[in-house]
Amino acid sequence: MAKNQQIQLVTFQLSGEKYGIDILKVHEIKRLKEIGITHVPRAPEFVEGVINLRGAVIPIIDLGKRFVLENKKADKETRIIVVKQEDKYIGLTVDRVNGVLTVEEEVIDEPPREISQINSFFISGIARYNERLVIVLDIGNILSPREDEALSKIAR
Amino acid sequence: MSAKVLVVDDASFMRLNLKNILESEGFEIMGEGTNGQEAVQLYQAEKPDVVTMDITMPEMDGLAAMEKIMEIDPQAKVIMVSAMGQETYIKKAIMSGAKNFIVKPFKKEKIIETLNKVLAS
Amino acid sequence: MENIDFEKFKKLFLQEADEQLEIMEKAVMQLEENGEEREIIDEFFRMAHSLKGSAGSMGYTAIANLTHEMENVLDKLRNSPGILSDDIIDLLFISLDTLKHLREIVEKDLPETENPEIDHLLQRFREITSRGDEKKAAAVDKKIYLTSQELKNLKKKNEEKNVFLISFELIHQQEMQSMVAFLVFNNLKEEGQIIKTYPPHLDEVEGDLPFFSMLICTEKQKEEISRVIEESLDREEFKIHSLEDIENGKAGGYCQEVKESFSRRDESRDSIRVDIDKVDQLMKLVGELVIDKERLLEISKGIKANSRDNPEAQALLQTIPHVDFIATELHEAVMDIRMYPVGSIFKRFPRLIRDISRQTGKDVKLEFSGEDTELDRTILQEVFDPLVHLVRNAIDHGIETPAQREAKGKTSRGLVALNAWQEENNIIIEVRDDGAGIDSEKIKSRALEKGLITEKKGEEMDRESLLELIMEPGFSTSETVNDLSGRGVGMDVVRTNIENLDGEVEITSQPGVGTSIKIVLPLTLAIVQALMVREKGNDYAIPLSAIFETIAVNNNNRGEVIKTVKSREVVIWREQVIPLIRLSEFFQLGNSHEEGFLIIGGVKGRMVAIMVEGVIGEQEIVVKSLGDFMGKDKLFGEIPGISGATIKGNGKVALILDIQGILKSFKKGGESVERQSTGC
Repeated sequence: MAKNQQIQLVTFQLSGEKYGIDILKVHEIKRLKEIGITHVPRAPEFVEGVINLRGAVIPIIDLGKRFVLENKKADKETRIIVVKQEDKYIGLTVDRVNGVLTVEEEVIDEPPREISQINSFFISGIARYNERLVIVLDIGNILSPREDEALSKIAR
Repeated sequence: MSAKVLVVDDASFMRLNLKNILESEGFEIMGEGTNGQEAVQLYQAEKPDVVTMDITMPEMDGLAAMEKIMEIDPQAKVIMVSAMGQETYIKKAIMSGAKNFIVKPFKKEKIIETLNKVLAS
Repeated sequence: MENIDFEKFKKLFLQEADEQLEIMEKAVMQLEENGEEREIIDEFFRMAHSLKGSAGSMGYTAIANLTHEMENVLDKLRNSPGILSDDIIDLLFISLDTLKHLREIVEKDLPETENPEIDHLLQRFREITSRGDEKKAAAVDKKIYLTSQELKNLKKKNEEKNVFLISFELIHQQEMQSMVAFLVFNNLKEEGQIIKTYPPHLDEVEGDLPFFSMLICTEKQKEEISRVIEESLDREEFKIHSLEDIENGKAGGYCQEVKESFSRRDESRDSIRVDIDKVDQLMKLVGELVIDKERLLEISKGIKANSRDNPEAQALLQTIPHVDFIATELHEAVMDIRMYPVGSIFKRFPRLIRDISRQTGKDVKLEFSGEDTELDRTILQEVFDPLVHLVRNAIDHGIETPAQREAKGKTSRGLVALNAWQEENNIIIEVRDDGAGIDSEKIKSRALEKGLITEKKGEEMDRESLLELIMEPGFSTSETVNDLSGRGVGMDVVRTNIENLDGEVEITSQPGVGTSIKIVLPLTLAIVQALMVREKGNDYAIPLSAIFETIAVNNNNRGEVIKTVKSREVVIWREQVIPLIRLSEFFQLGNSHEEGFLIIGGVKGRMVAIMVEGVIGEQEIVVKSLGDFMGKDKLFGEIPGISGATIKGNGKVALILDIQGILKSFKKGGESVERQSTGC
């Protein structure tokens, strides 16, 4: 069941793998240093904290930790991608941002296990570009707290 | 000098009825129209003093005909003849310039009175 | 009409309709309590009449028809005293309910469907109206009403032009009377300005209209106007009165002056209606202004140091305190707009109580106090449903039947009281009843049955905590709802709703005597005074309203102030023993220092001392909610002890501590809080 349409992705890296998010969902990209992240105590592991985004307090999550990947220490390449989901803003920290890609998208229901280190729950599709694969992320599911339920549903 | 009346109604019975009533009171029927288009034509050919206009007619209804006549002659005196429950039409007609209205079935006195009133205005 | 215009009219219609419905409801209740009173019937009539007019002109025929029939009945009541019966009162109540329902349909733009119930209602009204004297139901009171102000304006107009009141009575014309009225109206429009008509919106009325009148201001003379009307009507069918006639009462009862405040609420002050969105926007802007002025204050500290010779800097330093003052005043003024008296929701209860009492067969009286206590408007809206629930429970399962009450030696009429007051920085709304009360022992056994608590826990719990068990979701499952479980029905939802407002529910009760359920709501203003504290490199804000005192702790006084009891640290403060919580340990940030500051806070009976590294100072902060991602089932989950965030002068975010939350969390769990080391 393949659908071919063009979308633009903001591509970035996490633990060596390339991922992408629909550009329509991306609000802006910030350097880690620019902002002081305020730590939130006793929050889940993947929560970095909160920041002030033009007067609104928005949460920052470490996408690598969210995916339970091998962690890379923050450096000058680290970026925060601010996405908008259902009127709410969330910041995602990633290892580095590559750029914007326009691709044909093939939507695959069950990405084969070898495709990615991360749980398919977070994946909304796979994009092919120059022999490479970019994993398109499902923002809604990434931000969903009911992941544990969802995880148990997906036969692993 | 009797007033000239243009009677417009698609029902011949109604036209006959009106004709009888009006002529017995000294009015002159200068023409009979069976639909809106004829009404406009007849009005243009020879201007009557007053028009009695039925609302529901084929080809062109009374409302449209009246509006056309008002365009030709803004001073035209048109009396709408309506059935019960045609209030929306009457309202529209009044807004477009109809001078008065009567409701079918009408009494002889009523139509005469209305005609006189309209002619006097 | 264009869509935009119609929406505006619709909104206006709904606003007015709500007011009218409210007044009518009050009127019918008064009629029920006090019996027939001419003034009340008049007022009721006027409201129904206005509503009919506007509904008619908006095309809401269902509403127009119903109010038309109500008007007829009310008219009959006016003219034939002594016929008011329970039947009629019931009908009026039902029709008000129906009108509310129709109003909903209007608001939601649903199509008007055939409604046999409404038809039945109309039928019954007609029966009443036509009982006996039909003729009388005619036009005694078909008047144009003018307020004193309007009359004054007319007099002024009369000085230069002519003001006439023309009353019409269509004797000869029987069909399409409204069309005749329209015809005359249309013609007269050309002669002058038609100021008012009876019925209002004369040009929109349909059907029978034997009586109508118009108030016109024209340059023409009486004879000219008369001639214009005679184009359509006979002389006997109308009468032209001058303004003097109206004033001298010679206008044959076609026009009457009316005191404006008669049918409006509490008009001791001038008021205007404002869209709540506009107020919210205003609040948002004021909030931003406060943040910026804090920044300015901070910046000015920096300027002060090096700017003795800089005239601009000096000028700035002088202006900033004034901006500070203005911003604070503005903030208070805007907050004031959002504050609404609790009475505005209380007044919806008499009707409710009547209905519930009827349904349950109980006899209940309602009292309230503290109606003037003010709450933020949005909180007020949220608290209404839980309150209704509590009242319903109280009547359903609290108040006994009249027979039972008499057997117990109580008055057969039960009492439910709604009380509101302010206590420190909370607003308390209490639902108190003098019913059967709740037996905490019975609660314990039931909770044990349901497996909500263990035997051991049950022994440890005090009365208050036991009573609170009725709010546990498992307590009142549906099998048979007896009075005990009935009191718990829906209470878990009530508690959740109140907790979402950062409030609490407290229950006290005495079996046989009565029960009191209190809703405690914090006065959450979006801008608060706070104390900024520091812990492990991060700043936190604590609302000043929750702080009693701050005590510096150093090596010298530590032994005096901090004690250990049963391996838990406590603080002796003003002869009370209160628990000590070290913030760094509570937040799992590491070990805390030996020296620092104790923030003594909480509310009476639930105090706590929180140990922090440093105290920065007092500051006004804007509260930013974190509700989007913090809380049960949200991205971050529940974070105990954090109630929001604020943006500091330097642009960074500081979290706001919730003292109650910290205490609660500490009571519940506590492993992270108990000190590992022995002695101290």
